[in-house]
Amino acid sequence: MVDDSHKKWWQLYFIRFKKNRLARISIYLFLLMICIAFFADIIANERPLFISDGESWEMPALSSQVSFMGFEDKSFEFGQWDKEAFVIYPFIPYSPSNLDIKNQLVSPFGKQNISSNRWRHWLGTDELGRDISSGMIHGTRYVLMIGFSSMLIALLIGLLMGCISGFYGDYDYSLSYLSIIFSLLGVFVVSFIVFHSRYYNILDSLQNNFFDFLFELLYLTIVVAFLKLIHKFILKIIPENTFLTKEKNIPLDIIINRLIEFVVTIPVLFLILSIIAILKPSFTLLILIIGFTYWTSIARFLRAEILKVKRLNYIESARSMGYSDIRIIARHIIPNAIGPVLIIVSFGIAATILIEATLSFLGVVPGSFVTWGVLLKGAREFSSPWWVAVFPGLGIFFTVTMFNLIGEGILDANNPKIRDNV
Amino acid sequence: MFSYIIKRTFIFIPTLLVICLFTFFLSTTAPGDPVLRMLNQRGESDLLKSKNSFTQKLYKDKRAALGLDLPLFYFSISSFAMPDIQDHLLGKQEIEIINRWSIETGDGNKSLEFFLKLKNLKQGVLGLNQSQNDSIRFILLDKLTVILNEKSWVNVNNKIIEINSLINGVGSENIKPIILNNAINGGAIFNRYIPRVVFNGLENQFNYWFFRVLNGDFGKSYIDKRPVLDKVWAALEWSLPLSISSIVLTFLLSIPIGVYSAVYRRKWFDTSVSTILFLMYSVPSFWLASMIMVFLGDPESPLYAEWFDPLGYKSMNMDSSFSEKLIVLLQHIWVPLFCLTYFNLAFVSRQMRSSMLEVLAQDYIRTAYAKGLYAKLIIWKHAFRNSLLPIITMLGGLFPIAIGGAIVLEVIFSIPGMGWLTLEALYARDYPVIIAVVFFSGVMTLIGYLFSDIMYAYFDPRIRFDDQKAVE
Repeated sequence: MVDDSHKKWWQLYFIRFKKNRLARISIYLFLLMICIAFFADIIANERPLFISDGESWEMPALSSQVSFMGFEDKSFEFGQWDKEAFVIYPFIPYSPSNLDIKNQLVSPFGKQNISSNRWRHWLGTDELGRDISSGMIHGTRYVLMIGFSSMLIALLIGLLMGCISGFYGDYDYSLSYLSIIFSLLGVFVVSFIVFHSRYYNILDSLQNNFFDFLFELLYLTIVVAFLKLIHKFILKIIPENTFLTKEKNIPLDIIINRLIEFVVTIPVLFLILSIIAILKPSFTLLILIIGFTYWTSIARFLRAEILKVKRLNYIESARSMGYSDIRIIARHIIPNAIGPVLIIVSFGIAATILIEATLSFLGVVPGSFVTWGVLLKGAREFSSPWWVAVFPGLGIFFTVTMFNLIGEGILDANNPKIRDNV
Repeated sequence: MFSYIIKRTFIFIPTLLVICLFTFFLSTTAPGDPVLRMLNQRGESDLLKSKNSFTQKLYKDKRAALGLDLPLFYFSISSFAMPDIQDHLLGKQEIEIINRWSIETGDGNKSLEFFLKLKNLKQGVLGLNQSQNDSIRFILLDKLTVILNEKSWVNVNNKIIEINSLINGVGSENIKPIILNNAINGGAIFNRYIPRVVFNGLENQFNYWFFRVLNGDFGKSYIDKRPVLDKVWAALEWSLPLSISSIVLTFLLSIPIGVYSAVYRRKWFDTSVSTILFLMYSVPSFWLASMIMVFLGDPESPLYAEWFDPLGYKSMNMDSSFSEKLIVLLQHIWVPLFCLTYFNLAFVSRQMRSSMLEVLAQDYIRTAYAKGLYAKLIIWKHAFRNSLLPIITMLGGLFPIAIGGAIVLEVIFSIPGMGWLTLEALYARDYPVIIAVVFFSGVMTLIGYLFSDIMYAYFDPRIRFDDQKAVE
């Protein structure tokens, strides 16, 4: 037998994961998808990769790639270069929003109105002449960005809540009355400042550069620090064993469970639709809403796992060695409890993709972006032929399958109970 | 058992209250002015700018009749910087500007006075004779308009100086220069940090809203002025049979599939069914529904079959008797039902299979086999019952999916249910209906969770007798 005891905990996960062939293929495909999404502007773009007329040269496609990564976009004029210039085009010489009027609704297999096979629309076009393959490639960007961002938010909140409610339970956390008073006071003061006194300052600072926003955060931190100073001061003044210093048990588990119940009761699609009706549709809003409603699954499963892990012996020995709570949680409990969380995250990314596709299908998406859902919507609206609907649908299908397989792989890697020799 | 149900129902009530609060505050943030809507005005400018005392009185009366001049909630938290706004004719945009000026200067009443002075000045400039100093007049007018829309007080400060010089340039007697009242810039800056809590007692909008809702009155829809409750009820009549049959079908089918997959593990049944379920799980339901409509529902498509009518469900006549409706339902509901159910079916089957596998690996099952019990008995009496618990937990989670997931399907199959109602309300910005729909879906989800909790307690005695211990 190979001795694996020297490996770190996540390496053991990888070893078990790799044995599952389907999951391994899915991970490779996932990495491929990340590459396609990242380099989408270089793979499919109406601007050429390289253009030169002997004296000066330019790489316009790279400008759009770079602008995607956050820098400024240099505009590109075709008219500047005369027809004899030497040009290299990207693999698919169309942008997703590029309207090719001569080639509306052409089939990938049929006759297309093009000059040479270089310009062929390999997956056809829709009713406006937009190339489907380019839309698919640029669409991967939205898929991954929305999926990952919303899951990141959900993960942050869910990990925090799950750890607190699982580790502290109902009986292990107590605060003195004075601390309770100050905590509530602190919450009230911070909310009052954020939503009333400095509300407009904060909104302005978000529009301006980042440092203004940091200033606002600094302001809040100073206020909180000031409150803590008062707290310590009062602690020094009042004598021991009075009413205020008596410790009261705070049932964190019940509080967090109530909160989870409340969040879980809200149906996500209705919430998204209502909020988008009242505010403007935007991707940020979508990511925030999905993140703020999905964390409950993560918190619930994390709590269940922590409850199982908490009773193990080495946790007890870690406590008796005097390790602080945070150290125990971070180094001992989380690595053992993280399995179901990863499963939920990967299924969550799949669910996010479906939600985004549904929303685009209903027409609730911000303006000019071309995602897979938008392509499907176009397919339905204009009774388009099969290639407009089939390819985005297949794209969604394969991506969701990929994430589901990864989730299943983690599930099997995590569960040593299901063995073959029953 | 009964006491557990009572206890659970009591805990259900605070969550219901929170849903009410949430829905109410959602409704207050809805854009648009309901008074103007009732009076059939399109924009704020017509009615509000009019100096006609009759229209002003009309506005005030209508507003009082709708109960909108009451405070929002049982208590209000604001700061000392806010003004006492009595004049509601200002409209939402202008109230926002005044709020902002009050917070930035710290003195709300003076900001309000200043704003009104500026408005009067603008009216005065508009009323000047044409002959004198036209160009200056236009510039002044322009600057006044800009300043009346300017949100930030700092910018207002700068612009006042320009305006004062322009006023001197116009030189008419009716227009006096606006002196920036120094008291506004004074030490009142910290007023915005001092909270002021006002208790409003029972006379507030939330109270009235809440009791109206308890009576079933959600207001009238903006689209066709019908009571919202009627519309929601009619929509529910279409949606509920679909949702409930979807959940029932899910459980009826997925439990046997899950159990047999687990028991005959890795035999042909398990592998083929698992693969099919897995693929089903990845297909977006609206895409599948669209494909069905295109390929099987369109008379021109080669696969069209006469008997297969995916749009049949909507032909149900609501006024016929219950048994007639039931017959039509059973004939036509299958296509939408299939599209709604297959996703949940796949998910629940896989869950059933994995929890069953976990239970079958336990030692006591092995002992039972060793003792020589009949296999059927072991599976259905011992293993099945113990593996049922996670599935019941999931029952609660299925309700929101059944309610919300049908939105797109209702659009595709033209079923006038809750989802379709929501979409129509969204496109037309029909806020009373949107609020009512959010409220109802919250309530139905809550009922679903209550139901699943009670079932969970029925199957797991640990919950009934010992709910101090945290159970996963």
